[in-house]
Order: sequence, then structure tokens, then C-alpha cells
Amino acid sequence: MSNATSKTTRSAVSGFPSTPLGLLQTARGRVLLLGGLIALCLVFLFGGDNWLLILNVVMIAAMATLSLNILSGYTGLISLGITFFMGIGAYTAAWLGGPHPFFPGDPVGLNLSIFIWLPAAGVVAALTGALVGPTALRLKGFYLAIVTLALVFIGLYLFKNARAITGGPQGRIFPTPSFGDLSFSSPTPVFGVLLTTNQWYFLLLTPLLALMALFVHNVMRSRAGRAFQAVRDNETGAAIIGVNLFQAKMSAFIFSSFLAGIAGALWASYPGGYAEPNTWNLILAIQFVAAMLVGGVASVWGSILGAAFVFGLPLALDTFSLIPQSTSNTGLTSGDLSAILYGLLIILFMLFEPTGVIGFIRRVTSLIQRFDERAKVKGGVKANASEPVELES
Amino acid sequence: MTIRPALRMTIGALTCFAILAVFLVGCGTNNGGGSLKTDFGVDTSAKTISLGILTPLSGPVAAPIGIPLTKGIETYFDAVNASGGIDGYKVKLIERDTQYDPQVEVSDYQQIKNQVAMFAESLGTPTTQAIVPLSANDHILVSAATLDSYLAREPYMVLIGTPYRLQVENAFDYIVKKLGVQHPKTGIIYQDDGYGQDGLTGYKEAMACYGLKNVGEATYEATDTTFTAQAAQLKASGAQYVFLTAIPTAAAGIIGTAHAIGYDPHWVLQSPAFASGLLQVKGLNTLLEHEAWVVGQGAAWGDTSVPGMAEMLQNIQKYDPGQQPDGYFEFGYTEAKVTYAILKKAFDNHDVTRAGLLNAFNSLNNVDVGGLYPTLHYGSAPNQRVPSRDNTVYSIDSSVAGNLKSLSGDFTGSCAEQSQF
Repeated sequence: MSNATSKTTRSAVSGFPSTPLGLLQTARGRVLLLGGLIALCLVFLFGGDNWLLILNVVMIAAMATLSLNILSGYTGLISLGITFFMGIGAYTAAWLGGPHPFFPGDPVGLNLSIFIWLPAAGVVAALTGALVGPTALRLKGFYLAIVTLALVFIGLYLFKNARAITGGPQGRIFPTPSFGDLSFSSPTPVFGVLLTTNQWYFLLLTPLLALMALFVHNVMRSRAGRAFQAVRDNETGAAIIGVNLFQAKMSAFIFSSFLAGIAGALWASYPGGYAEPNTWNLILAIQFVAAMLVGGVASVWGSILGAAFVFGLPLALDTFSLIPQSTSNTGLTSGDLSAILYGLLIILFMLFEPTGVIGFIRRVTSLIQRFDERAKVKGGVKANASEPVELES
Repeated sequence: MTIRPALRMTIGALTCFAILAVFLVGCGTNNGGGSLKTDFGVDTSAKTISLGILTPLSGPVAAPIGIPLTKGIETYFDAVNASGGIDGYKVKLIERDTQYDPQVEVSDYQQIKNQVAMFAESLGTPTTQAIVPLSANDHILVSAATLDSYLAREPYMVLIGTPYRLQVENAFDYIVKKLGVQHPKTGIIYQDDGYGQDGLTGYKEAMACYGLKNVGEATYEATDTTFTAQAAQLKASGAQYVFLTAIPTAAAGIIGTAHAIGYDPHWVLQSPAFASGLLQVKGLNTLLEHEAWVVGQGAAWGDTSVPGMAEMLQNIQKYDPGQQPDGYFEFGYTEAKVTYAILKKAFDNHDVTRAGLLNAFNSLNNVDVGGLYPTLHYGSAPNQRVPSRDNTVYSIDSSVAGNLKSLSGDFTGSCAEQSQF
């Protein structure tokens, strides 16, 4: 993996910018960014609940994929345990922000503000990461993958049995963001304009994801981020140049767990506000790994695009499928088609574009740049060639 | 790159975002249709009322449960529409394939919630649980094709029949009180989710009520395909009666595996654990016919002395002639009758808004479903929202239509009578 990721990092310098703000470097980038923002505004205003639902799910999934990318993409520590940390974050949020018990036996909830439960979800997940990190990080490669895999199963057991907080196998209600009288749970007016639940979440998630992406991008360009990448590329070499391996790995583990906790709290909160322990299962963890691989390893943009591909595409295919959803349809169903297309696209990407969606986009961008340069060179030659002609005429 | 252009760009974008947001026009209508109060899902000009259906139409639960159950609902409303609809309004069903996946269910719910007056079906315990908070926020009634007793606490959930928890209690009432087996050695294998927990709760209550000697409890994941550990555990415990809170594929796997290791207790199947399709499996059919009972509800298929059954069979001939005898079809048909009762009451009250539908549901009291199920009771408190507490214990018999033969007749056990919700 380290060779592939090194290539990806190198290509980021010349090709596709690594964060949204990187787009500001060129005129074309600025147009692209502005176009993207206008598109987001249009979706917000006119996209309707279907598109907003898909976008919101993708944004939360992108946060989780970003957290996995810190650990596995940038630091090279293969982890399958992301859903464990997401679950820890989600149940912290549920405990602090969930509703007070109504019936005897209902799980506890303190009904606190989002300003408490959302950061706390990240902090408790990070502390849990700090607790399990020292044991897990003694290992690497497949061995670490197996240990983190075990975390998923330990988590499932804990979540099913800690009924007072998790509700046990029956599941529980998770908090919906609210700010004073404003609650995301139902359409609420602001300045006389009625915004739907999905629009409120969109307004919360868009800046939150942008901030996370920018933060991860900046950290990865800092001393700590370079240490993560040095550990990934060559542990011995990193130690020789003075990187404290334990400190670097632990920092990555804690940082990743923090983001996973926040993503988990939001994943449980949206769109249903209800989750059972089986939500935090291995299949979901593998989906995040797939999102990271398909999107692009060690890339902020890759995390976002991978989440769109793995989580958004099946939802979009299902939502806008042309196949009727009815008992009278005895052939291929919408769900079948979605699963087939999704599987097929993943196979095609792995076969023909192993650096992921981001690698594909970088390749296209690079081709356009080369085309531009050639055109400029040709234009220059023509101009040079035409001058004497003009002079002659 | 300097930070200034970046900040300028971000502030500019956020301003654009905020300005455009102000122009948003909210939705929310209250159409007047003469004296009829309406909001979502009612088209007063086309005279239609739309109902949502959230059911698995693909995946492993589709063929044995999702499709026949939904066809039951379709057949009933085809007949209603053919006879003029409800107060002249034709019922239109908007169906979505949930794939038995809670996330897909939530997405489907969000897609169609503003197009429908209520949901006439939401199939599955984990899937329905996923939309409980949403339905409460949206004030929309959901008819649940699951008998999870937890849902009786939810004011917007409509249950059809006796909850799983009471099914287990009634099954052991039959064994202890009707058959006279004192302190039987019993065990349970349950699915490790909300559905399984409901069965387990009933089992624990039955232990206390009937003095059962519990010797083994085992669980499995819904995705499991091998059941050797569970079968071996129950064999080692020596349980005489083993209750299965499972889905049909898992029930088949458990019974077959247990037989392969030489363990053949008497199996008691929770109603969703049985599907007629299991009798097509060679070897398993004999085991089921000799060693298994099913605890459930409903008139025997083909018994035309029951008015509801006679009506259902006539409608099948007209609207779905290929339909084979199937308990889930019967459940769906019965469920549609309850939905019809809610809609009819709302139309009678001239209020088919969501609030009007809730009022209609809360004031239904008794719903006569023509004997397909016992008369169902509804009210506004959790205990009143448990529609029935009686069950029938059936043997499995491939020679009869529907493959189930009543052993006990319809009865309510003493434990189920007293259970609180």
C-alpha cells in the first residue's frame, strides 16, 4: 500500500488539488469551486428531500471515511474497527442528548444540547481510542487488521448488553440537533422561511464536513501529518529521522477515533434517529474501507468522492430507478439492479483505476493541462510564425 | 495561495447560500375539498387517496413474506376500488422496496412520506423500528407488518394481531395447561435483534407464569447460515420443547442441523418462523410435520364458513387468481381491512388529514375483520393498542390448504391476559 499511496501523494502536487481551497489556485479551479457551491445552493433550494437525503448521508459517510483515511491512508495502519468507534460516539451522544426515559426500562438520556453531545461523542471515542491504542498498535499489517476486527465484535457484544444506554438489541432513539427552540426533527421556519429536516441537516453538515476536510488537510501538511506519512512509508526510516513511532501512531489513532465518534453520532441521528446495535457491524466497516479504496487512499477529496460512490450511488440508483417497485414486477428489481451496478462499478474501478476515483479525476485533469500546454505552445509557434508573414505583408 | 482570497471566496459563497435560502418557499398545504379536511396524499380532484407500502420486494425476505403479504393488501384494495372506493375516493398504493434494510426503509419513507396519507404497510421489526421516531415527528400513521410488542407504546403504530411476546406465553400455556405437561424442560433459540428480544421477553414471562424449567437459551445473527453451535447447545441442555423466534430460513437451518446431530425435541415456531415454502424442502417437511408446531392466528385457509375467508377467496379469484394458500397473504388482507376501517372512520368524520386519521384510529374501538382474525381492539393507551391477546397452536400438515391445522382452537392464556405494555 505504501508505494501506491506515495504515488497518490506525489500526484496531488501537480494534478487535482487536495482540498476545496486548493481550487482557488487557478482560474479554472475558482470557476469549478463557484460552480460547485452554486450547485449545492440549487440542491439545497430545489433538490427536494430525495437529493438532500442522499447528499446528507454522503456527507456523514465522508466524515467517517476521512477518519479511516487518517489511520489507514495517511498512517498506514490497517483498521477494520471504525464502526466500534462510531458506535462509542453514537451512544455517548444518545446518553447525553437523548430524550429522558418515558417508560420504565427505556434507555437513559439527559436531553442536553448538541453543543455538548456532538463534541463529547468525539472526545469519548478519542479517549476509547487512547485506551485500546497501546495494545493494538504493538501490531501492524494484517495482525492489526485482525485486532481491530475483534473490536467490532466486542463492540457489538457491549452494545447489545449495555441496555441502560444502548437499549439492547431493541435499539434506541438518538438525539436530533436542536438549538434552543429550533429543532431539526420537524420543519421549522427561519426568517419566515420553512426549512425541512433534510435542509437543516444540510446546513449543519456542509460546513462541518468542510471544516473537517480543511482540518485534516492542514494536519497532514503539518509536522504531525508528515510524521504519520513517514510511519506509513517506512517505519525504520521514520524512527531514524527522529519520529517517535508510538507517539505518531497514537496521535493518528486518537485523531481518527475522534472524527469517527462525531461521524457515528451523526450517522445514528440522521436520517431516522433510531439505531440498533447491529448498525455498527462489520459490513458497515467494510463499506468504509471500500469508500476509502474506491475514492482514493490518503486523500481528502478521495474520502468525499469514495463516500459518494459507495454510499450515495446505491441510494441514488434505488431512488431514481426506472424499474417499477411493485409486486407485479417479477423480474429484476430496483434493489437487485442497484446491487449489480454497485458491484460492477467497484470491480471496474479496482481493475482499471486502482488509485480510485480521485486518481481518475487527477488523470483527466492532468490530460486537460497537457492539452492546454500544447495548445499554448502551438499558439506561440503560430504567433511567432505569423509575425514575419505580417511583416512581409 | 494566500488565505485572503480563500476567506473572501468562502464568505461570498456563504452569503450567496444565505440569500438564496431566504427565497425558499415552504411547503405545507391544507387543501379544501368541500367539507372534507385533507392534507397529504389526498387528491380531491382525481378523488384518490394514496397510501404508502414499505416492504421487501427483493432479498431473502421478499418471496416468503414481503410479496405475498403485500399482495394481500393489493387484493383487498382492488376490491374496495372496484366497489366504488371509500366515499368515492379510490385507494392508490405507492410501493417501495425496502430490501429488509433499515437504512433503505428510512430512505424510502422519506421519499414518499409527503405523497401519502398514511403507510398501509411497514414490514419487519428492525425496519419498522427505524421509522418510529420519524413517523412520530411527521404525525403519520404506520400499519406495522410486525408484531413487536414494543410498538404498542407508539401512538402512530398500528399493530395487527397478537404481539410476539404474547405468542410465546400462549404457546407455553397450551403445553402446560392444555396438555398438562408440568415443569417441562424448555429452551429458546432467538434472533439477536428486536424481534428475537420480544420472543425472549415472552419466554421469560412464561417461565415465571408456568413454572418452566429453562435449560438453554441460544441466539443467532440474522446473517448466520450455520447453526451447529446453537443446535449442539440445546442438545446438551436436554430441552424437550424448544421455542424458535426466527425467520423461516433460520428455522429450517436450526431444525435440520439439530436432526443431523441426533436431536429432535418438539419445536414451537413463532409465527414468522414458518413459511409454506419450507415444506418443499425434502426431509425437512417430514420433520416439521412430526416435530413442530406453529403459534399464530388466523382462520384456516379455505374455511368458507368464515365470512372473511369466503370474501377473501372470491376476491383472489377476481384480482389475483394465481395466489396460492399463504398465511402472509391472509395477514396482509386483514391488515388492509384495519387500514380501511381507519380511513372509513376518517371519511365519516370528514377529516382525512393526518391528525384526522390519528383521531379515527384512536376512536376505532373494535374492528371486525370477518373472522379472518378475532375481532381487533384499539384505543389510545399502550394496553389498548394491543389489538388481541389470543392465539392458536397449529400442527403443520401439507395435506391441508395453508399447511396449518388447528390443535388448540383460539384461546388466550392466563399469562398473556395479564401482560402489561
